[in-house]
Amino acid sequence: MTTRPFKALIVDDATTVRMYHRALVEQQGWETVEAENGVEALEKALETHVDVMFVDVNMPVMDGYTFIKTARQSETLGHIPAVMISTEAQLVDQDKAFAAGANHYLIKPAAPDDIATLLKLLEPKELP
Amino acid sequence: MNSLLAQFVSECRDLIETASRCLLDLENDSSNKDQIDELFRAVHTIKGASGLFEFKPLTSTVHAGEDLLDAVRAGDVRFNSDIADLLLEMLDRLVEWLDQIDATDSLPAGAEDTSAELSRRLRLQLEDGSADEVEAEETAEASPAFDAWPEDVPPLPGADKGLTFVTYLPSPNAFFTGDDPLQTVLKTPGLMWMQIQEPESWPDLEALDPFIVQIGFLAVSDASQAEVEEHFSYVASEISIQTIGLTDAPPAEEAAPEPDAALKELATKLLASQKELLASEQHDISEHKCLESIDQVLERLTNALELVVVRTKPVHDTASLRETLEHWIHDIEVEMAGGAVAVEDTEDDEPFAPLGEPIAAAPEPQPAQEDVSAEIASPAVSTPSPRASSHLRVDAERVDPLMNLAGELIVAKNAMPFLAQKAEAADNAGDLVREIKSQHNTINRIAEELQAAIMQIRMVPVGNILSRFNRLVRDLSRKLGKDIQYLVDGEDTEADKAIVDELSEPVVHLIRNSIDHGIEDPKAREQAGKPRQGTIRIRAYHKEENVVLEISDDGKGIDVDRVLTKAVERGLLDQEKAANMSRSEALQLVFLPGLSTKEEVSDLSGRGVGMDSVGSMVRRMGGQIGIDSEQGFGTTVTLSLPLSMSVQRLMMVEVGDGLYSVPVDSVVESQKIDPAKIRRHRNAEMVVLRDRLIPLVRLRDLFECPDIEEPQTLSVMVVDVDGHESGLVVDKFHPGLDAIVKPMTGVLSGHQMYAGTALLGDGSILLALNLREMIECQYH
Amino acid sequence: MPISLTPEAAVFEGHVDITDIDQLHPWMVANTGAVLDVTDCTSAHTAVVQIVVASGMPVIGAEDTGDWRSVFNKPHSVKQV
Repeated sequence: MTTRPFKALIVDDATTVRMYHRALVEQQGWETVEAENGVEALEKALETHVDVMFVDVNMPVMDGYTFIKTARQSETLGHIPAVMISTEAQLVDQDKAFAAGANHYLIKPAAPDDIATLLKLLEPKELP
Repeated sequence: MNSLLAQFVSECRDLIETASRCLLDLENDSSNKDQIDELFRAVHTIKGASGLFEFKPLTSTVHAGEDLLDAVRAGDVRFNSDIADLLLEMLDRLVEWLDQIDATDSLPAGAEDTSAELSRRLRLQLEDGSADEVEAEETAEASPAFDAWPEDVPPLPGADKGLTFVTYLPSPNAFFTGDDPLQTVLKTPGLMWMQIQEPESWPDLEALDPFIVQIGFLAVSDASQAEVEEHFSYVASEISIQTIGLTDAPPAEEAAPEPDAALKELATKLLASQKELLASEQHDISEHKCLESIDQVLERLTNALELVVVRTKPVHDTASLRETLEHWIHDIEVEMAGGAVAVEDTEDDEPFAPLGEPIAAAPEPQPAQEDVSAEIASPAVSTPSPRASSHLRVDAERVDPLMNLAGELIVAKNAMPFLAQKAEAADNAGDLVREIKSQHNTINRIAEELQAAIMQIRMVPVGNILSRFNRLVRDLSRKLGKDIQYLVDGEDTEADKAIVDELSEPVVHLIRNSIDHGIEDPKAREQAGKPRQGTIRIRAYHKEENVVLEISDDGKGIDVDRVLTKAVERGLLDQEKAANMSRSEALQLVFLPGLSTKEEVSDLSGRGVGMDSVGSMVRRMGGQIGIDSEQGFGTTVTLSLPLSMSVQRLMMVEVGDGLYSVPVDSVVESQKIDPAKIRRHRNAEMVVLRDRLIPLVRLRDLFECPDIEEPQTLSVMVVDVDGHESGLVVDKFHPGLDAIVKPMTGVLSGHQMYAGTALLGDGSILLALNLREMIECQYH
Repeated sequence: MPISLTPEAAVFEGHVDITDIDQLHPWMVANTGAVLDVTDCTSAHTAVVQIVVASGMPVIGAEDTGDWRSVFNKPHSVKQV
């Protein structure tokens, strides 16, 4: 059986952080697409199939909350699991993340093990 | 250096640039909230990114800076010039460290000391404000082996994950060095608990020396050990620090880590998150899609954990999907807990107990009212990001595809006349032709509008660049012992991003010139009857289709006579010509290569460091440069640049077997001339057209095309370059067209003769001629 | 004046600094039966807290504050929520 590589969308305005997350995700054998704000993320997500979205909170142009909210209204993107990653540990931010429609919340910088484990849990079923 | 590190360094440099600009702006207007926010954001981002590497001194320094700025932002600490100086010093230190990282991948030796000292001073500023508790932002890397929980310390939340424990025994003389140990302890980041340790016994009150420290402190914090260590770095020798934990509480889990313990642990968290999301208020399609995403997560999670729980049936309506998911989560929880309670769940209609709370909080599974959905329907306007002020920051990368799209549309448009021509050849095609032509008009209009809209996105204020030079002026003038103020007018004036980006280099040269050689030192200025403080002023404004920048100083100006003398000495022009030159003409000589070399011109004119290269930079951007100066009163250099690199109206000409284009704006007229009318002077050919003597440039020769027999008439296109007319001799004229000229890339980019390429409707490529270079090439 | 002294009580107000010890110390020695009132005390130098702890004099206004003033009460600890 040939396996389709899984793909994660990484949205963060800081290039360094994006590269870091990308490296962690790619170590797990996933492919990645990057975007530096919500608007770009929507474009990227629409043009290529992604299995999970890792989304920063604080970004110019369109922030993470708005991005997830918008994605959740989309017929094609709505169902994709979204994980918020933020430096802010406060509970209120977590609530906002869930209110926006996020499936999970991680603190930045995410520990390599956390990302690895999360990806294991969020691996889509193999397609025939 | 690995690429992540390289990226970090370069990103930090940009952020430092932003931060220093904000700081300098704040020095003029310390109440500017946007600037403070932007500054904070830059420093915050540096700190966040640095956390990815082992540069603790760097991270903790920036963290101290961030905390200070956070307090400034919250209004707890008032921004003042001491703070600005300190933060600028921090940025300078960062630059040094980044340089070192660049070179060696590591921080310089002694960075730790520097950091501790700098952090202390940053925190000192913070203490002057209020006692703001520093939030524990970083999660401590929980090391599995904790020290035992001390008996004196009450149990605290988070004890199982490990907390930072500090014992602080201040030196007896601490009060004499100005320390206030209690305040230091109370300000420990993430402080959860503290206690004063009394000595074994106190002396009689009367005999007590109140100025000798006799008490000690215990403190527990949920901030990382490093963070706490850094907070106490000033009294490092007086503290001991440990990570303590209540290891005996959950020993089973900790001691015997199952291979998939981590997996299970995270799965539990993930499950909890799904419950949160399930309980959150969502409406209409968002609600349904959120449920679908939970469905996705649950399916993957069950799969990954190899659980035997499966969703019963596929459902489509929102209400029953919600119900199915609730059951599913419950089943997974039961299964993960060991499947013991699974029997209980045989009765399917039973109300759903374990999930009670979130469900109770959940909204009605019915689609919600209209009014709320309308609010969600406009997501673009919600939650402004702190950076977005009056304008959006748009990345060129994102706009470029649009640019290309516009280009393609224009190409498509250009294809229409070809089509029309073709159709015309067929019989009874009159209607078709008309239709195509009208279609062409429509596309044309759309293309123009699209173009204009995109251009608007690409427009950025020139102030972005100009305000950066504040620091340059400040630093350089201090270094030279001069007092110079830097003023910018019209920073909101906009131009295409590409132009604005390119501006920086020539402007830096001009500012440096003014500081170095233009403006005199305060003493000399006083003697000349001028204010001690010199001024460099940049004015930006729009004029016709150009953006104009005037860089002026009130320095000593240029001695025109000496420029002329020098030019003659250098053989750049002859005595007679020099004598007839107007003042303004003579001044422009400073742009000639060979006249302005650094040493000579600086003492000669107080101006001219690489003026020729500034000139050529500006011309390369398609702009013009001019200079005006009055000796003793100052100098003004005027740059005039195109607003954008937009669609140009081009004239097409054929030479040899190639098609070339010339911007229609440069074309004065097209003429057929009799070769017999050509006059030859030395090696140059000229022709008289309407009383003007026009030098000819034979493009065939220039492009080294094979010789052909001289035709009966010559096709000459007269072009105007910088006010000088030349006649280009071509093989054939073609109709004009609109196209976007893209700069040459790759191997062709070195060819100065071409300004770029444009795509034609039939797919062929047109080379755009760089007239200025071409004509210069002809004469040299 | 951050401390007002009467034979019955010393009332701390605002920030009490190390310099106030010069007055406080002799007063404490002379009025061992008095109380200390920290109800309006916003902060105090370590030296002030130390002498209060050393004197063992009763402190009022620090009960149930939940803030730093808890250090005046035994066991001289502060727990932050």
